[in-house]
Amino acid sequence: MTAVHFGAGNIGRGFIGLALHQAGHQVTFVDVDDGLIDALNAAASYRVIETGVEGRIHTVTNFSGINSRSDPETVVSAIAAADVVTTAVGPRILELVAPLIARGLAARSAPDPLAVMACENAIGASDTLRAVVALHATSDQLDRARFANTAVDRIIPLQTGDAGLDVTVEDFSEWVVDRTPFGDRPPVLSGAHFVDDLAPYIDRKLFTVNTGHASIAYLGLRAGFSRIAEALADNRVASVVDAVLAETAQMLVARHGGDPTEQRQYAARTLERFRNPELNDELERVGRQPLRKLSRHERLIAPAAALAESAVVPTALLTVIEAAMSFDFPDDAESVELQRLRATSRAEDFASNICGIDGQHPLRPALVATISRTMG
Amino acid sequence: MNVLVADSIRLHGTATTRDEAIAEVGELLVSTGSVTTDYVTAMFARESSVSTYMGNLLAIPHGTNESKDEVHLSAVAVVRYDHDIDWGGHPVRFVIGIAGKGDSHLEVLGAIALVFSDLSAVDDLQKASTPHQVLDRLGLSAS
Repeated sequence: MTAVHFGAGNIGRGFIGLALHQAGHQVTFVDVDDGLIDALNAAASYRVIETGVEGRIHTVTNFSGINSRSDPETVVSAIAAADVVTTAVGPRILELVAPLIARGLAARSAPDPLAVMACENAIGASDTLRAVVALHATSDQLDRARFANTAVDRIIPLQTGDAGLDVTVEDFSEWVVDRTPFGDRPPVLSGAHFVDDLAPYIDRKLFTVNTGHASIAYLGLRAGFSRIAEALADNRVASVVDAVLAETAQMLVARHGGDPTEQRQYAARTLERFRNPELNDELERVGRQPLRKLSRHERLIAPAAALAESAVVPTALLTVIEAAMSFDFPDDAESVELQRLRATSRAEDFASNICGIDGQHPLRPALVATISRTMG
Repeated sequence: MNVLVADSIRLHGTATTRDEAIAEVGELLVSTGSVTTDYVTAMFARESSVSTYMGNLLAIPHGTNESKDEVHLSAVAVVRYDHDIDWGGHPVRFVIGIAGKGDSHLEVLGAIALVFSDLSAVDDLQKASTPHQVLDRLGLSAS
């Protein structure tokens, strides 16, 4: 079995490439970084070093590299013969991958369809990739591939020193794949979790990991801390974060069903991830772009609104929203705008225009009261 | 996401070359207050490193990854041409400038690609006689 993975960076080697290797694929990494491709071709193995309480060291072998800029034809041949294609390249690079996939499909004679999964930090990324590939391919060629959306979660800390191809990662990873495009023949991926509906997993991650991370950042900054792990070690911060995750757990179980105990375990595991001293992110970095984070479908307002709609007052989430209003870092344009609005705008307008909570929405009275408390 | 308004659609572009077309759609993005002029410079930089020709008469010039801070508001601007623009050897009739704030680039790209991968939709877009018809057919209008 062979897999072609676009993006030989830390996520590529330390997460997707590792999972493909562990599932028994020979992995061909594609990148435009000459040094990286040369190193991959010169090495027989590299290590993935997991940090954290369950950390292990994995050795990846049986891989090679191709430079897509200098050698696109070899990339096309590799795709034509592959079982699986994955990407971890970022939003502005995916469109460059698409023509190569289209040409690979045109050259493909294998009877089984190619499994294509864009492992990007965006919802529906494989649908996007499919649409862009469709611009370069006939419908017959497009039918030689199955594009499945995925949700991926693994924190990769800043790599320190010169570790070569070795990558340090956290000891948690989750790769959830939409099974439906594959029918009864999903690709061989032992490390991935195939499901019929991605939405509960996307929501679970957004409203546990992202909501939790942002909550620690805003509460921690207000309490005078600067790093995630040290903020979470503070009882005042930790007790509100626990309450926030209890609220989002209630909202997730109400929306998608599922086992409340399992959701509590997932939340507890998430907090354990945040306590990992190797991942000790700066609160300022985590809190950046506060206006986006305070928008209607994001990590704070979306769960608060859903709870209010079922007649629950999301007290802990409102405490975080109040703390977020104080986010003040001149380097971040949204922070500057937030502080300008706090000084010049009305709480009612902020709730409508920034948070998207207006009219008769049941969250509105509590949200407006919370915001107005921060406006002096 | 509010990305496209009728003011950002030009049905009869005047450019005759690829570079003029990038400048034309870039000016449209600047005039609607979506991006700074530095973003337009970055659109040329991106095009010189790799073509944004997408197939099916479409090119989607946009800035580099580093230039996303020059984007005030996620936006697209559309210029349609009555003549072929030569885009590195490919004919182009639709030049859609993309300015994606943060990571919203993929969302916009996906929506555009979905429309243009359907040849009958491209045909409809060529026949559209008002900016609002273009808006409707692209499905990118403000919600």
